[in-house]
Amino acid sequence: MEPMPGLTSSHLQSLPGSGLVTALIGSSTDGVVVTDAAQMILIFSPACERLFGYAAREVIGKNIAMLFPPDRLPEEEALVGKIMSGHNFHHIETSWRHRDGSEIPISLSAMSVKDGEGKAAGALFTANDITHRKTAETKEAALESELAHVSRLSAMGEMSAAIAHELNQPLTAVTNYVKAAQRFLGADSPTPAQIRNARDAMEKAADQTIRAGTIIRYLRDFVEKRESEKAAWNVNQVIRGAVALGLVGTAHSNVKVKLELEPRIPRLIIDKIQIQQVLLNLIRNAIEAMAGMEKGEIHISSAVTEDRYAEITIRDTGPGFLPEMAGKLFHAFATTKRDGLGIGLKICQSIIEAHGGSIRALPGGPPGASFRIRLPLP
Amino acid sequence: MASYSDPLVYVVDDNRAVRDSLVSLLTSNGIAVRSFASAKDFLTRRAQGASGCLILDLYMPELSGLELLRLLRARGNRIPVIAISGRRDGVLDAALTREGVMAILSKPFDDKELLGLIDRALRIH
Repeated sequence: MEPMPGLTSSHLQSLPGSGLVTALIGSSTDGVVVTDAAQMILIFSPACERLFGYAAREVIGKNIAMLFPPDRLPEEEALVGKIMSGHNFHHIETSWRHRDGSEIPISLSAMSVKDGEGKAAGALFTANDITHRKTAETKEAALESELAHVSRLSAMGEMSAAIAHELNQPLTAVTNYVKAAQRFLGADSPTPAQIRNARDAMEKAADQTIRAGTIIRYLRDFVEKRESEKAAWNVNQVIRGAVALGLVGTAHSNVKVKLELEPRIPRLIIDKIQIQQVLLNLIRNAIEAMAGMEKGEIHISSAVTEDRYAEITIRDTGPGFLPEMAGKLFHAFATTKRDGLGIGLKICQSIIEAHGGSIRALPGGPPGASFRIRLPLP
Repeated sequence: MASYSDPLVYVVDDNRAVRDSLVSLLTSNGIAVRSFASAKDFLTRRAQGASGCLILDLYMPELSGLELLRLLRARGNRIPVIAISGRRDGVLDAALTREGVMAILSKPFDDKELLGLIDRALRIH
């Protein structure tokens, strides 16, 4: 068999200063792996032994693919291919396989090693264990989702009187319809017209119980404690849901909502409940700001931008906010409300940012407050 | 309960289901009833000078129940009023009492209570 071109173990040993190289590799807290052009492992540093659970002698001479998780084999091999063709990579987040089969999250840097003629002779990988960071990130995400949940509960608490009112309407109707039906059928021999009326009333009563049930289901979905869950959703539908929830108990108020939704908006990968929470927060703020005004309008529009974002704009015709407040709106505990904690917008911001988007208050323009949310298209 | 041919019960409530169900309830009890979706609608469409009694929702857009009541009283209209409401508020209750409402019922209410009040209202009026 012809010897492989490029790097070989003995080649490495014979390099001038190889003792220094070995010492450097041995002392590195990052795991170091060197392969030849055929992806065979030549060097497997002590830090790698600790990281992946293999002794160097177990892996030297074997293909580096043994360190790749089986379900991501094609991606990792494509990466190695790119390195061999001269690309370098710095701190990409991936995970490699431990001897026990578990996956170790790592930050990986890689560069090709060239021979004297500039041809790819092998590759050098350094892997940095980021398990702690990943755990911290997961914990932080869990805390954020917990905070979002608590904030939803608190929003529902603030809305409880309105919710009771909203449920009272269908319950009142049901009671009246049922009593009417009883009364229509109460005669000794009800006439066909009375029977028809009774049947009609019962059917309407059933419709109203379904209506009350829909309200309850909506609220339950909203306050249910759950993991953050992203899926493909039509954002216009999410907006409509938030409006329905936001208008709970405000039928008697003079606030009108006008929607201008872009029908051809692509589906977004979002946590529907959390985005609804953000919109609900903005809608309730607007309603509160316009309380006591003779007429109030909330305009909500959706659009697609050229840089591939979905843009949702919420504008009200209330008093707006002072320019000096505009910059502080998203700080925690910034509030103009007597009994508000001032964390609503802060939570909105962290939810939107966790979706890779942004939210900001729009300056100037017509009176009233305007907010713009940008969410990336998939 | 006696059946009333001429005197009408007026229902003013912006919620369609509540309004419609009240019409069913009163009709099933042989009471003639006319309903209105807003205070303004009541003011423009009601036959002037008609007797009867008024079942009045309190929380409505534009003209509220209390505002309609004050308007009627200012015009010298003494029609008996039964207020109905999905939420109660001490200040509002006091204002309604000052305007001389017969009763304030919390939604959902007992049909016997409502029918008893209507009966009283139509007798005295």
